[in-house]
Amino acid sequence: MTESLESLNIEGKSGTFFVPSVSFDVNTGDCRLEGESYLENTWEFYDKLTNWLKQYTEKKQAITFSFKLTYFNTSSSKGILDILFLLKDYELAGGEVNVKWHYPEDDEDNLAEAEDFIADSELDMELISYT
Amino acid sequence: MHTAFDLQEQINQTATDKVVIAYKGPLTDVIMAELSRHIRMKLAHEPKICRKIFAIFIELAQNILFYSAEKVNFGYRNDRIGTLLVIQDDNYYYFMSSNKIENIYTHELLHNCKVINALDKEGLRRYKREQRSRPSKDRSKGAGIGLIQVAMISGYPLQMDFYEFDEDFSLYSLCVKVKKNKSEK
Repeated sequence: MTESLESLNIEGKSGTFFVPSVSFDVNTGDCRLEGESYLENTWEFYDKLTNWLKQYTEKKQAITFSFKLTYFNTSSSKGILDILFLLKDYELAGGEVNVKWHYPEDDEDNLAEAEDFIADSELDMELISYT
Repeated sequence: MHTAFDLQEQINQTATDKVVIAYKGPLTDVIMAELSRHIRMKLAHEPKICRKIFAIFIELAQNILFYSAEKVNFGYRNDRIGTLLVIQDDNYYYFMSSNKIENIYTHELLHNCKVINALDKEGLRRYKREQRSRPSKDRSKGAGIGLIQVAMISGYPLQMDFYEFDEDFSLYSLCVKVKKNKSEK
């Protein structure tokens, strides 16, 4: 199963729902989640991401995860936390994990969310502001 | 703080330029998305406030979408009905949502509201984290922390009101206010 794992790409969309763009590279372990997250079926969407990550971690390769979310509703925040739990588990199991959280410079609520994610997951994240 | 009923009254009586958004009727995903875009368009000149109002809107509109006890059948659709209002005065935006609910939920909602209103900003952050890490209840289609999030964004107490129609149903309304940022005007 692991051998057949392919990169996961989901195009970000802003229509009836707000779908964040997903770019998980199976060769480099470079994973990005960007944009806005308000989804029709939040659990299904985030399960897809965590399932991919679970399979990827079986390869025992490094992961660099980069979040750049400008909006996510409370349901999505639970999905994001699930990703962080998974990454923390991988780190505890000896995996190389590097997480970056990008937030708009003037959005202190976004920064506070990131700080709470760090506290809840006990996973270090590099907090990077942008204008 | 206004009650929902005050706000309705105010809309009837005051100039419509106080009204940012007013919607009453069946709420669908499509209408919700359009209203959310409308909010962004109207408040584009105040990006920080816009983010707050948008986030409050999504959480409260979703509550109507999931929980309103008033439904309308149209073809195969079964849409839930509610009211969403955003009005402004010189200093604040007021956000109100209301919908019909079954009386069995009023006690739980009031209790939640009381717990939330007793907490300060840091307390709300902790409470949200606690609730987020709990497994979702059956009734909850979201993370069950929408109201906490709304209170955190607002920075003011939630104003919750119930108007009992009969022994089974009430009108549930929730008002929150968001302070305008003078520097963004």
